[in-house]
Amino acid sequence: MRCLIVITAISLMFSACSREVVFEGKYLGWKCPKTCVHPGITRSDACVETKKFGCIYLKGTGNLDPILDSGKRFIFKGILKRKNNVPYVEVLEVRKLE
Amino acid sequence: MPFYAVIVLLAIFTLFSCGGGGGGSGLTTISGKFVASYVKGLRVCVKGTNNCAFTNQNGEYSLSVNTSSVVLEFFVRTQSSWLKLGESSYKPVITPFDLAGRNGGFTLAKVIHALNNDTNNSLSLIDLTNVVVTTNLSSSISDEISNNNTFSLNFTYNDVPMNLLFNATSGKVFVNGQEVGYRKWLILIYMNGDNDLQSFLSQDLSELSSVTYPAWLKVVALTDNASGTGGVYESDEITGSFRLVSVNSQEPNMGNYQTLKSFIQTYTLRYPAQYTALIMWNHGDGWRSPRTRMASFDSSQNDYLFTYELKKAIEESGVNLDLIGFDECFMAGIEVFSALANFTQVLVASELEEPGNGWDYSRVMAKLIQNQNAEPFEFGKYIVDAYEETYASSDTDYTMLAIKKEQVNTILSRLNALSQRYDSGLKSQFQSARNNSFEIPNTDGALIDLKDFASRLSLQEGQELEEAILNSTGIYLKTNLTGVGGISVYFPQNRLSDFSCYSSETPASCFGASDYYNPFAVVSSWDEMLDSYYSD
Repeated sequence: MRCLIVITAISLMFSACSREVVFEGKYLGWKCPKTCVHPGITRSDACVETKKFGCIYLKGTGNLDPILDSGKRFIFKGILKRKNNVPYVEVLEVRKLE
Repeated sequence: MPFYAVIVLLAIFTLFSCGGGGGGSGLTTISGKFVASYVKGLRVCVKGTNNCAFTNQNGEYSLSVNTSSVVLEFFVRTQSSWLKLGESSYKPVITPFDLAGRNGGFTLAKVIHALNNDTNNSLSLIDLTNVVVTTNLSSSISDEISNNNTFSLNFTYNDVPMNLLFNATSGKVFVNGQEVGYRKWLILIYMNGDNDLQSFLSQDLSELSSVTYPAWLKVVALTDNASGTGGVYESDEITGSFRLVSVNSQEPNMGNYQTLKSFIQTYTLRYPAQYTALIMWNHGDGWRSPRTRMASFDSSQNDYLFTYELKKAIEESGVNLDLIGFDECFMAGIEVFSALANFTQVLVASELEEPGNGWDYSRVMAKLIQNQNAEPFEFGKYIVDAYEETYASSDTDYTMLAIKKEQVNTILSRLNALSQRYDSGLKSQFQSARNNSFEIPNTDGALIDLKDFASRLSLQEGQELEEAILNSTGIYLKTNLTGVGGISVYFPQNRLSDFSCYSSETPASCFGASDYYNPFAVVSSWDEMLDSYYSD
C-alpha cells in the first residue's frame, strides 16, 4: 500500500505505510555502523548514510556494488517499507552524483 | 698407495654408505602424530622392522628412516607381545580413519577410547601406557573390523580387568557392557560477522546454543564480529552445551584464505570424525557481476575471500570434506560448485539471496541429532528441509539445494557439451532462451537459472543438461518457484567489462587481487562459448 503523504523522519518511524521516497546518501555497502538496524530482508542488504533518515538499509544491494560503490554518493528513488518496525527502502532507481 | 690401503679405504667407504650409522648415512627423521583424541603410549613401527617408537602425551612420535615413503604399523601392548591396531602410509597426522577406512575408523576410534574406559568420548588424552590386552586376535583390530568379525578383548587398564566387545551386527562397541560413543560428525562453521551481519551472527549463535549435543556430534564455530575479535565456540561432549571456549587473541582476518585453512586444519586434527562438514557463514556473491565473487567479507581488514581462495584454502588444508554448505546468498552457481566438488561429497547452497537470519540452526541440528546414521547427502537434505520449514510460510522466495559431487561433474560435462555445440547459427536460439530464462533477482541480470535456460533450447545437449539438473538421486531441491533447477550460471545479456576476469584461467589482476582466476573457467567451455556469443 502506498500513502500519499510527505515523508518526514518522524513519520517514517511511526507509519506502517509503504511510500515512494527520493533521497540522497552515501552508500556504505556492507560496512554499516552498529547503530544502523538491519531489517534482515536479505543477507545482501546494504546501507546508506543520509541526512533525511540517518542510516537506513536498502533491500539487497540496491543495484549497486557493496564493495566497489562503497563510499560514493547517489540519489535513490524507491519504496519505503518496514519489517518488524525496522524501516528499509526497496530501490527502484539509483543515480550517481557527479 | 699400496693396494691393501685402497681395499681398506673402499671397505670403510662401503661401511659408512650402507645406513649403519648416523648423520650422512641417508637417514631422515619423520615426525608424526596419531590422533583419536591424543593417544599416548601407542607403539609405532616401520612395517616389518623393529624400528619403533612410542607416542607421547600429544600423540607425537619420531622415527629415523631411509625414506619418508614408509608404511607404519600401530600396536597396543599385550602380555607377551603386541596387538596390531592397523597400518597406514606415513603422513604427518594419522587417525583411525587412515587405519581402517571411513566406517571402520569410526569403530576403531571407539575401540581406542574403550581401552581407557571412555564411553562418551570425553577424554582428550587416551593413555595406553597402562593398558595390557590379555587376549589376542588372529589379525589386526582394523582387519577384524573391516572383515565384519565380532570380537571380544580382555584387557587391564590401570590393573583393573575389563572387557571390550565389538558386535559386528550392530556395529557397536561395548566396554564392560556399556556402549562406547565417538564423533560421527564434526561440523565446522566459519562465522564471519565482521561486517553488517553481526546481529544475525548473535541470533545464529543463540540457535546453536539452544541445542543439546550428543557426544557423536561436535560443532566448532570460529566467529568474528565488527565490535570485537570474536572467538571459538564448541559443543561440549559431557554437558552437551554449546559455549564460548576461547576469545580470539587478535582480530582474525576472515577474508584471508590462511585463516580458513588454519581453522579447517586445526579442528579436523583435534577432533577427527567419520564425517566432516564445513559451513561458510557470511555474505556470498557467487558469480554475480560486476561484484566480487567472494564467500567472506571482513570489513575490519577490508579483505575478501574470493572463490579461488576458498578453493585454495580447502585444497591446501589437505582435508577431505563430506559436506560444504553456504549459509550465504547466491552461492548455488555451477561456477562455485565445480570449483569445490573435488573436495567434498555434497554441497548445499541457495541460488537466491537468503533472508538475514539465514539457516535455522536449531532445526538443522535437531534433524541431524534425530538421525545419527545420516550420511552426508542425507544431512544435506536435512538442511534443505529445515530451510523450507523456516521460510515456506513467509513472503520470501526461497531455493535451497543439496547436490552430490558426482552430479556436479555430470552437469559440468553436459554444460561443456552444450557450450561446444554453440556456433553463430545458434545465436538467436541461445539469445531467446537466455532472455526468457529466470533471472536471479538482484544480480543485474548477470545470473540466470541454468535448468530454465537449458529447457528453452531445442537441442539434444540442452535436454541432456536439463535432465542432469532434474536428477533426483543426485540433487535435492526445495523452492517455492516454478521452473527453476536451483543452480545458476553467469550469463549477462551483453559482455560486461569484467568478462576477462570471469574467463581468466591463470592468475591475473582483478578486483584488487593480483592472483585472481576463475577455477570454473579452467574446466569449462562455457566462458569460451560466452566469448563467441558476445562476438557474434
